Amino acid sequence: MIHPQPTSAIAALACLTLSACTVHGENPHLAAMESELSKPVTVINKFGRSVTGRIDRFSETQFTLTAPADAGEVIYTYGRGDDAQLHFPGNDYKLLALDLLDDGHEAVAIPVLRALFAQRSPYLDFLPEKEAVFFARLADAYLGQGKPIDAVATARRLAPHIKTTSVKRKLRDIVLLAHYRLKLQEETRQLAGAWIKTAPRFHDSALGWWVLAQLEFEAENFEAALWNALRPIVFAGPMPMAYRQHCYAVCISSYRALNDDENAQTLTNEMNALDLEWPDIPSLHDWRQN
Amino acid sequence: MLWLNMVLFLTASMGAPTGLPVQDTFHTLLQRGVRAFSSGDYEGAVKHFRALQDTFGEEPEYAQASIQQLLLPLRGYAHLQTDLPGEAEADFMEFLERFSGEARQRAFVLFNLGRTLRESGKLGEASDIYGQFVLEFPGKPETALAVMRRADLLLKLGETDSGLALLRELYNSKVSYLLRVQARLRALQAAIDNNRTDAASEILLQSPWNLDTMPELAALAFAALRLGDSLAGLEEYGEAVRCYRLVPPKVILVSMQERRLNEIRAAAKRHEALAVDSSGALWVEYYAQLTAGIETRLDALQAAGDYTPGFLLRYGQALLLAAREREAWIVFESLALDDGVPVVERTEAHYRWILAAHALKFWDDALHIARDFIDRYPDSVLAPQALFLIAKAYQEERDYPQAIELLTELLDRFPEHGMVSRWIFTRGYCSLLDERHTEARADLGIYLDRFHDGKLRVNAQLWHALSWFFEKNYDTALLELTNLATVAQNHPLLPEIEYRVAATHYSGRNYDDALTQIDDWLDLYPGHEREPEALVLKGDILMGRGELRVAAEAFARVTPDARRLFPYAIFQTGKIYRALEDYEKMSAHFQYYVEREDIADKPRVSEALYWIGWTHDRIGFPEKALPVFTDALAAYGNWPEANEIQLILTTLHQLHNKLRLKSSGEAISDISLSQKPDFETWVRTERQTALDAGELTYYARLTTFLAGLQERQNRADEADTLLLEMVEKVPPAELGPEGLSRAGEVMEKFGFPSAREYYERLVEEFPKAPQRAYAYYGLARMEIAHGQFSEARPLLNKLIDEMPAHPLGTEGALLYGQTLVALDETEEAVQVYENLLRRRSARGRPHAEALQGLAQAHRALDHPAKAIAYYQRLYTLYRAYPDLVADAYLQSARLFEQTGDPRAAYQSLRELLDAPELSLYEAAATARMEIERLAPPSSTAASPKP
Repeated sequence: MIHPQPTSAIAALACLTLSACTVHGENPHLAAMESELSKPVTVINKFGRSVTGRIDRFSETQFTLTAPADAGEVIYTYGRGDDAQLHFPGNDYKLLALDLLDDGHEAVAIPVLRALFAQRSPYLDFLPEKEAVFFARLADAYLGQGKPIDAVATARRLAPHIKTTSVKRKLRDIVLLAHYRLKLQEETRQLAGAWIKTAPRFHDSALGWWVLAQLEFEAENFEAALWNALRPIVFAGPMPMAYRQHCYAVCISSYRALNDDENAQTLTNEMNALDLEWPDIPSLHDWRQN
Repeated sequence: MLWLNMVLFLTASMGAPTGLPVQDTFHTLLQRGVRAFSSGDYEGAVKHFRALQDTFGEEPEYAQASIQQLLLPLRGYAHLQTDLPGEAEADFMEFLERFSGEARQRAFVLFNLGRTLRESGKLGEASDIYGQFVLEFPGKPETALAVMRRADLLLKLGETDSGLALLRELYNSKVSYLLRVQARLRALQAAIDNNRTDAASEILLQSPWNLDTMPELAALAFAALRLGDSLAGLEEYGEAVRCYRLVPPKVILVSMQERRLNEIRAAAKRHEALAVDSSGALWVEYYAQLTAGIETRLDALQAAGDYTPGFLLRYGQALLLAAREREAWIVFESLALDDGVPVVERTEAHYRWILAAHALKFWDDALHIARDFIDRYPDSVLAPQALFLIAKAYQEERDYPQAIELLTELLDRFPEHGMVSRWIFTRGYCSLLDERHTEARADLGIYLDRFHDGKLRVNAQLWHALSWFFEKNYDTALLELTNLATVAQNHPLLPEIEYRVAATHYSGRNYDDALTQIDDWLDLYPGHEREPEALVLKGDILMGRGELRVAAEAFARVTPDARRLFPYAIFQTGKIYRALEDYEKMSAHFQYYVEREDIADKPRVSEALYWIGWTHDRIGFPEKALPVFTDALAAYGNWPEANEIQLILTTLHQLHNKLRLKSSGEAISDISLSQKPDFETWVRTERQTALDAGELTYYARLTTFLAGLQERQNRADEADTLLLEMVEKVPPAELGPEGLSRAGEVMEKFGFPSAREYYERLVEEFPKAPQRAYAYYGLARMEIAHGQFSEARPLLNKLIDEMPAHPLGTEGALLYGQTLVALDETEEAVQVYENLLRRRSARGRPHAEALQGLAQAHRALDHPAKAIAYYQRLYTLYRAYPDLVADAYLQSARLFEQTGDPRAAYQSLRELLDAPELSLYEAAATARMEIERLAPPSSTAASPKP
């Protein structure tokens, strides 16, 4: 079993990825992690008494824990309102996963996160919100690694358990982007439309506008693309805005497609003055000019 | 403060003499003063130091240099902190005079002396002291603070350049971010305060601001707002937009500034905790000032109303004037539809939204937005302007009647409005564009009578004169134009007026004066934008004078830059060579045009090819012409813009026949057309090929040509079938003018209302095509069929006015006469018929119908004698048209009876019934019934009255 510390994340990363560690198709470190995660859970009730055992049954409102007793087993039932804290083994792996993500090793972090998610996601109803918030990183990592279906599935699984506005927005963004990457145009349009409907005039993200503009651009509806992408540019304000450069790129490309070089140049100058990079979007590559 | 600890240590180590009361000793007093000082109790410190001086001032112990060197800076600072700058200055100055001091101590004294002098209003001296500090302590962290203080003082002293230079040096240096950004902000504010707009722009926009850590967000936002306003005032709208983009809305600014204030407070606390040496005090003071400034600004921001809507309006306006209309639209629309925005700003935004739509020339949208404005804010002071914008939108959409109606409504509702002159002028102008010349002149006349200082006086006079020109009243037009030219000597429209004088001379066939005028014009205005038109006019004038070769020289001066005038000049030159029968030159001329590669957009190539083929035939080489024509068809047959395809087909038909005769029916050379036994078969094959290839425009052209062939062979049904096939297979967008007119005719013939679609498309898409005559005529006929004579009238008017020589012009005039009679405008109808009778080209049945029309018109005017006279002319002169003759007899009989001459009535009917060629007409049947109630003449038949 490994006992990873945050500082040894890179070493752990090596262990998880090196094929030399693999015996008969199994990675012994992953196997050790799964073994650790499958250990009994501990429940501390509101009086501070702790019980360790295995969860046998659960529903949305309650779960039962079977704990060994002197002569056999005792079954405890906990309801959602019982104020009992549920503790899973393997919290060190959470730290490992965060370290890996922060170091940019999404692909390696995913198996760790996935194992943790498998361990805990059935019991999200009984876990504090921060657990669900933590797993938003898994949805994000899936998207980053080109697995939009997994990203949507994870985000939708988590969404009912999130109350924090910023995380709710993050999950909504993941679902929207995943649909766009899956080329589900109608669904993407609907999601982008819903995104826009709730966005304030001055916002810190242009995602919904960009996605809609991008769809229009790809359908060669340049005028419509322009109107959608211009909106966040107009109301960007002085603070940073996510996907602002994407909107600039769509606008500049659309203006060029409409033979309006003057406005294309104005926006290009503005984009340069703002130190915004041209985004890596295949359909816009050919429209980039310096 | 390190040196303060040393003082405490020294005073403690000196100790108090045993047995003496603590409060009375020198050292105790000194210790108390120092302790009060170190705990921030500056009033206490001052009190104790004063007691020390009062009690021991004369003692040698007090006067010791070591004591004074330590005491003076402390006492000076305590004096400064307790608003005693005079005393503070004395202490600091004494210190500097007596001691060179330990570096940190001296730095403390110098810096605080600067502050003391500044607070005493001795700005110049303070600036010098800070300058001395910078010189003496160049590498210290607080040196940057001294530079900033000095810069501030210089700015207050009016030494703007020096102050800005110091700040610029500071924010480009490597001192801490906080100081750099503050120096940049201060420089920005100073540049704005001193109207250094260029410098301010550079400071604000040269590089992005790191707003995540920027402390004085509100100050930056307001500086950006002020600078944006200044730049907009200077009409530098693009730069203004960049400034406005640095302004967040109030709600975001307040929340960001609150967050940043808390961060600054936390940083200040960290510095307070670290304030263990002399520089710590400077930073504490620095943070205190910074925090106080931000708090004051934040309080003011929170207390003030929301600047956001007003700012957004200005931002949108800058976008609009920077030609970024879509972005302006977005801003204005967003404000206009936001119920949370105060109604004044919302109304203004809605109005400017219309302006944005106007600027984009999105006329439909402009109309919709403006209508919505009127619905929402009917009583707004902007309502008249909004209505005017709607009228302008109608004008741009060429819906002049609607524009005129709206302008009339405006003038009725707001007769005292400041824009009345503009509305009257615009209504006159719209009337002119709608060819309602009398109404146009009335409005332009009102404008000229009422608004003697009107800015559009010359324009009004020019349009007034041109209204006569458009009515072909060249004498009056010329009179007004020449008068105008004398009074508008310095007006920008003078070249236009003088050009129009020449054009009017030309139109009035006064070629001599026209030539003099246009030559003068070309000398006076070389390079004027009208120059190509002037050259073309000169060519036309010379053609009018018969000076064809000189005219060709004038046309040759027109270059491809002249756009549509260039091909005009080319084809006029071709016409000249044709008139001179110089076919070789004509062929070479068009060949050169076709082959030119330096013209990006070369129109009428198919027409040039036609003329090349035509010249080959003329020169006597028809076999050379054949491939030119077939190549032209292959290349341009499917081009909707190619106008000569029908002509090429017709000529090819003739050529084919000629060549077949020439070669006695054998194949002609090796071209495919020659291998077909007859031209019609070739056309049918070509038509099918075009259809298979999806070349629908070419298919339609071949179909209309083929239909024409059928009609000439009296196979109208076959022609109709072909045309209906064409309608079925070719969408209207693929049809040229010929196809549209034929489609409209056949659809009208079979009673399909969609005929209107074809006709209307023809007029809209091909407003210059001669085939539009069919559209005017067909549409008018459809209106008349529904009793809509007033709708038919302008259509027929256009047909007669725009194309008097068109074959449909005669039929159009007849229908126009009937329409006028139906509209009770009989006098005008009489004029129309009489004009028709004067037209030699309308001889035959049209003249007969004109007589019938005149008779009907006079009958309507209750002039029975005149009506009878016209009927008599008809049945006397036009026996070849028995239907008309029969009707003329019947109608004149009725008029005779009506005027109390039954004998003449009887005689007329008798003549009708006696003519066997008239017996089959309905009029004869009616006559048979009517003659019975008229008494037969008792004696010999009376002659009809003359």
